Amino acid sequence: MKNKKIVLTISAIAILSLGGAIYAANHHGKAATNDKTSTQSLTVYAAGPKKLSDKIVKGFEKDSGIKVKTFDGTTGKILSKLKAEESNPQADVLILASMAAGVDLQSHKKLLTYDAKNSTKLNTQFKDNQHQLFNYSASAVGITYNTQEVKTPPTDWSDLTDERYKNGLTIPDPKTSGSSLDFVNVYQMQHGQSYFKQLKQNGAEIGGANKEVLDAVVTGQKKAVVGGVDYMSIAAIKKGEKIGFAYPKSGTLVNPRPAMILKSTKHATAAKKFIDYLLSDTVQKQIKQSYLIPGTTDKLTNPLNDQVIKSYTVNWHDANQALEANIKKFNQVLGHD
Amino acid sequence: MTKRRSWVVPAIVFATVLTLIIVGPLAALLSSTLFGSHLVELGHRLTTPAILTSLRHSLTLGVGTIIGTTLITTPLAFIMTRTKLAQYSWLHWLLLVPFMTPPYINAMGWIYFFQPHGLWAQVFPNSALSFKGLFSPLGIILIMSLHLYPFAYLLLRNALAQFNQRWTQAALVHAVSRWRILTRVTLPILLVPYLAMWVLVFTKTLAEFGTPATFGRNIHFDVLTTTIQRDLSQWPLDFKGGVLAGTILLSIALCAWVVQQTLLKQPKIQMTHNQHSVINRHWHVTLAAGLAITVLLLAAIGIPAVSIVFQSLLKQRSAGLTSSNLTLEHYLALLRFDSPAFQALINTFGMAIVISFANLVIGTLISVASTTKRLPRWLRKCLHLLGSLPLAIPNVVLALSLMIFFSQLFAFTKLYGTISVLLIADVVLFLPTTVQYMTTAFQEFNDNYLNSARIFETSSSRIIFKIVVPILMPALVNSFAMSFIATSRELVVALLLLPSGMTTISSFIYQSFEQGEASQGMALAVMTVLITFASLSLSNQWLDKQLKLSH
Repeated sequence: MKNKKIVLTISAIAILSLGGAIYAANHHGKAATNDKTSTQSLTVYAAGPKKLSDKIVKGFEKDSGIKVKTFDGTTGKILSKLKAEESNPQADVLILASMAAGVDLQSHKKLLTYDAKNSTKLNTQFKDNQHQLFNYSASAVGITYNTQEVKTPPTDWSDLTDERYKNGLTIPDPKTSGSSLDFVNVYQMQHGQSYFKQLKQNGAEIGGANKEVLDAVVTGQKKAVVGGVDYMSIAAIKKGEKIGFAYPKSGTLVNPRPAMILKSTKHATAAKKFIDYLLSDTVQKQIKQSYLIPGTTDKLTNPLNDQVIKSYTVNWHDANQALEANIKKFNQVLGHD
Repeated sequence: MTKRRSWVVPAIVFATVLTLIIVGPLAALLSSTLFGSHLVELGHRLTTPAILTSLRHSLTLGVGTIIGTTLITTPLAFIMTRTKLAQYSWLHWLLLVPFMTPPYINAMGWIYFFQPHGLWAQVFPNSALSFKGLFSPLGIILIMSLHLYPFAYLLLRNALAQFNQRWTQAALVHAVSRWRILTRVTLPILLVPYLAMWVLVFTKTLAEFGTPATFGRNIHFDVLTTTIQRDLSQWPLDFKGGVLAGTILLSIALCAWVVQQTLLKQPKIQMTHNQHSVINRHWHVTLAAGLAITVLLLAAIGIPAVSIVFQSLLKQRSAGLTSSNLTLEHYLALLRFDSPAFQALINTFGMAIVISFANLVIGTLISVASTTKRLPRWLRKCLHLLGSLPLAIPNVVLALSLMIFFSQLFAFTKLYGTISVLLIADVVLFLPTTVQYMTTAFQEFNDNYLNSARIFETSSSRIIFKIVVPILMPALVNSFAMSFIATSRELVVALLLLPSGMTTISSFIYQSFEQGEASQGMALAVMTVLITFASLSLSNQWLDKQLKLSH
């Protein structure tokens, strides 16, 4: 009989602690949801330099007293998280690295319209007439090259089809990198696919996300990145890494990085405040310090030497239409599966 | 009769809850594959090149790793049972180390070591060796084999240690040829351990995510696990594709699990005997064995460790190996309380403690219930099955099924997007180890202790805390340690289920490989491995002390 008592006690303890754990977990969940229903908290999903978004979020929390929860990831990861949470939306504000993805959300009527205070200050190229996408910053793509491997710096896209770059080229994967997605799409809209076919013949390969391909060039695994983002490479150059970055002289994509408020938000007031903060002088200055192009700039310039970047003019609604087909073609030319 | 029923009811409730949590998500996954789309579309999807390629790659990797581990473990098990090296127990522990470092860290180490301008090329700039051949499916098989061999080694060493050499001696005395001894005596006896080892290695390889996600991506080697993760988290999304790949992976894993369960049921060949293995004492055998083990350890521990430590010390990654380019700043950054890496460390260890406790409690309950004679047989079997089923579920599939389960069917609980789902996933995943440890401990539990205690001691709480718990202590500590280690390095579940604003060690390292500061990630990797070792050896020492005290 004692035996039974012992086992009974063990199980009682076990069940109690199990219940406790489940209760704690539930309670934790509830506490989190309770937080969300108060106006004093905001959930932001942000793509792009984590240091910058950390800085912005900290500044905003201090400024407004509103608590911010962030999720940092690539554009692709953010969009998938959004999709998974469709029936139970968590995010209030999104910051993406791909304009096409932003326009896609816009055309699906997922976004809230807001006449932001400072949106008149934005560069005309970055304005959205529907007041839904706030292009608070932008980044350009170009050519990142290893200065130890490449003696004469490339100046234009066409230089990369040269024999010198044979098997030394890598392209950020459009599946993970929002800026690469837009670059691959817009380049094909402007010039067709022949360039990518030539790259393939020169042994170019699709790499990983932006940082991965940059790392491959920094460590000398590859000679150059085709369509790497500028701010990341420039930050590495400033750190003293032996790489260079070129804005192609025939023109390149300057990709706005849109912030937006989701229609499903329960904290519209806080979200609007956040957008205002993004367009404030404080943040615009921080953006410049991270070597990104501030949305309110009057000229698009190279952070290294202040020369004007020649940029493509893009109709983003057309780009959104063309996106799927162009990415498919790109993957057919360069993909592995 | 009434007494018996009083046990049965809570046990049934317990089993039902477990079934809901473990089997429910899998059922959700299967049903969303079967009923989510039309059958024709399903067939069409099944034959898309992406699915077929990753399926082929997964199977190649599985079979390749089976061959790789067999080639490594067979001589190793012989060395560690039949040569003079067998007496060094520290060597035995050292051989298990590769299992304790997370495989994705090993894979990154290999990449940084052998890539063009990698560590090897910097140390030996004039070396004409090219490692192009390593950046191929062969390389990834090698890395997987070097990570998984400890499991196989443990299984095989036990089998060999118990191998009764009198059988082969008897055959020799009767002038049986060596070939016939091999085919008629040795192999049939060793077949079951080998089969068990192959199934284990195959299942583990199939479920592996970290190595294909790092090394595999480098060589464009997509397997089912990475395809699932990519379909779920990269643009353009392909939820249905991910779910289908998940179902395929689950089916293969379940088949392997069924095979494994039947193997376990095989009547064991009675191998216990009091005779020690014959040790070969020739000096050249010892030398050759020592050399072989050194090479193995260099490849399995040396290369990744050196490479990771080196990366974590670099100031500029393009400048390479010069003394002025080395710095400790990445480690100092870890010590700053507001640094994200430190946050990740705290998050992970906090979570690991919660999960390991929950795991221990549930696992112990299952073990008690599946060994006690007070429950009907079917219920015991059912609980035992539930306790060992998660062994068959690849991490990524479990994460995917919980995603579907909590974001679609159980969306009203609002649990999806909170840390609870991640906790549930990890507790379920590591349940089988605990159940196995505890069940063995309960089976070995000597009832005489309890009976005599009942005669001399009236307080049952004293019986529990002075007798039952101390006797079970090694098993408790071991299962806690195992699930603690496993939780703290789990990657793909964290990537898929982490709530916003939270990072764990593994997701931090992976992100730093993908997006951030590689050196910072590598510094965190080194710290994690060190902490794991420290806690393991502490718990081991403590256990040893307890054992000595009790004797």
